[in-house]
Amino acid sequence: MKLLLVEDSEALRRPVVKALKASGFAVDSTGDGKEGLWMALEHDYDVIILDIMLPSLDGREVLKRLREANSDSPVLFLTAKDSIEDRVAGLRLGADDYLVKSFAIEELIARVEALSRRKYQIRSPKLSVGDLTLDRSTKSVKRGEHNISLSTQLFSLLEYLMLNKGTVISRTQIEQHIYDEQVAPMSNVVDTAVCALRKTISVSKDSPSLIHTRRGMGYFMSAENS
Amino acid sequence: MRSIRNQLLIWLLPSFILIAILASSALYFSEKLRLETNLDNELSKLARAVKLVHNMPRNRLGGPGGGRLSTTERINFLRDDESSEFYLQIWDETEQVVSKSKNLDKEELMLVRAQTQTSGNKTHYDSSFSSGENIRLYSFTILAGPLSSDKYATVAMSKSLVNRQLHHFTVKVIIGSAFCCLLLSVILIFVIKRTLTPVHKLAEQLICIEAGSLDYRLDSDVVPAEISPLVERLNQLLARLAQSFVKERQFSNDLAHELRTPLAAIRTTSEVALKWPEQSTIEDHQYIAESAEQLHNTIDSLLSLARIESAGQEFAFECVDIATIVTECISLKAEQIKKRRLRVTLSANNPHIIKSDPYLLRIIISNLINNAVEYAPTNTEVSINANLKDSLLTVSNSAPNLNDNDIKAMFDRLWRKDGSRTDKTHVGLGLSIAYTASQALSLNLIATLSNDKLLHLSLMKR
Repeated sequence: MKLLLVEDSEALRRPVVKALKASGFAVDSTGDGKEGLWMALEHDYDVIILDIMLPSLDGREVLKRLREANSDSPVLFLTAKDSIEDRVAGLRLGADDYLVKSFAIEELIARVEALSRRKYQIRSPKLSVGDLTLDRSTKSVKRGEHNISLSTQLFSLLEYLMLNKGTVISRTQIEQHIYDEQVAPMSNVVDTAVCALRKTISVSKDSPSLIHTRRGMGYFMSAENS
Repeated sequence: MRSIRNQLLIWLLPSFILIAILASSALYFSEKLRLETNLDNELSKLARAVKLVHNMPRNRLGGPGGGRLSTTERINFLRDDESSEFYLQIWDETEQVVSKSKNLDKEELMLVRAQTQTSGNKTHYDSSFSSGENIRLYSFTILAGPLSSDKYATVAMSKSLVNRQLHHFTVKVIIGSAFCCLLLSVILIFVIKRTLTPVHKLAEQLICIEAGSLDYRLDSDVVPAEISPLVERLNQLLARLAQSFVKERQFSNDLAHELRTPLAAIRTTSEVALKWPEQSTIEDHQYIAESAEQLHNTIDSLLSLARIESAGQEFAFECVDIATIVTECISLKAEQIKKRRLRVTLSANNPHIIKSDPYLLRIIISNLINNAVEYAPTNTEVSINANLKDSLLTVSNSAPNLNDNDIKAMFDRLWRKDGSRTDKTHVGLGLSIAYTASQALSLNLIATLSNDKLLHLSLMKR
């Protein structure tokens, strides 16, 4: 999952980015409204976390322009404004959620996860392909009865592929969703990661391959052999 | 509670009743006069008939047996209206009764001779019989001519009919007056109700106005002219109230941002450090310290403002040298002045003594100088003048980014030109504190922006 955080207070932005990254999200961040709008329009973020009082372009204006540009990325307003009027105005502008500062970081992460589930129209935190199950709430993966331990990045890759089960995902899409700006990967990094993931989720020699390659197009997950 | 309706009813109803009583009395007396005049005319006619009968030979009256008729019958013969009974009594010169009508029986009429009349032209009198019957009488002289002596006569008529008519008229007048009073009261209540309808509607509209609907304005076109000024005043009051609410809301929003953002930063940094200790760095501690300092500055400034606001008149006025305070404040900012390459010019007599509270005056001057040094563009001039005619002190600096709206708002609590409030080093309370302190010292702090974008902050005597 790839997120955008637009928050002008660096003292707050830094720990939030750290927490989100530690929770397996790829995070881009900025402290400027205009730059945030540009990034949101350029990339397909799974969730955008937006402050309201921002330099150069107000958070509400950023959201308005995003919705005018037909961006359907879920937006969570993260702001100090706590009045009912402000919350209602924010939600009416097209925000999907509203969180008042100060907040518990766990709550922010839970809300971000809920918003990303809503984006992919999944109610349950559990995703499954064949006998492979991924639990987004406990960040755990099981194949049959075997627990599988994955690094944060491989977990994100598997989650992304499972969310788009049966759909071919290009390398570029994977790059955009799994890696943030700072860790812009070379194209073979995606291939290496997919290869590593295949090996990790193959718990025995009899385990059928769940990640398939469409040559020149990308990868997709399916329980059936292609 | 005093009610306009009750007040009007209390004043107007008795007035109506009084007017009705006066009108009824006037009608009564005019009717009484009319009836008595009619009776007097009857008596006068009767007197003429008596005179005619006495001066006329008996056989002159027409009709069969005219010569055998009694005096009363002959008089009746001459009268147009024979239905009303009359009384007649005649005296000779020696006031001996010569004749009297039979219907008098034992009763005697009063003779009032012309020479005994004392009340000018008054010739008609009221009297009564021993039976209690009221009568109206008229005395006159029957001139007999040269051959016989004059006689005196009195004619009278009963007043019973007049009294009865007057009684009926009085009853009618009383009933009419009561009905008029009742009708007027109903009309009054209806008119008051209708007249006060706009006031009731106004009250209902005002009840509906709440904190969230202060942009609502009362319609002054549909109310009577008398309460139109009241509606206009209320609308002005609502506008001021709405403005105050907007300012208060802006203040609470700004305060929430000033307090919650550093608090959120401290909380999130701590939570992340606890949950993912491997992610924690020394920089995080630095950010926590900065956020705590930011919180401290905000709370400190707010407390200063609150203390000045609540200080009342507890100030120690003494002779203070403005030039010394200005010089000290400039020296405190010397490093920043040098760093920002500002040219600070001071124009003040040395010493420049005024009577004021030194503590508050220092707060005002230091905030004005701090503001100029912080926000004047680098490599520009900051001018401090204590020798101007109209002001105690004026601090001027270039402010190319300010506009007239900023000038109006710059003394508001937590106001910042930067709407996003990203800058952590300023809270937006300095000028507000200076303004409040100047108010406490009965001074005016006025901001003006000249055409060449020079901001002048002037401290003036009221």
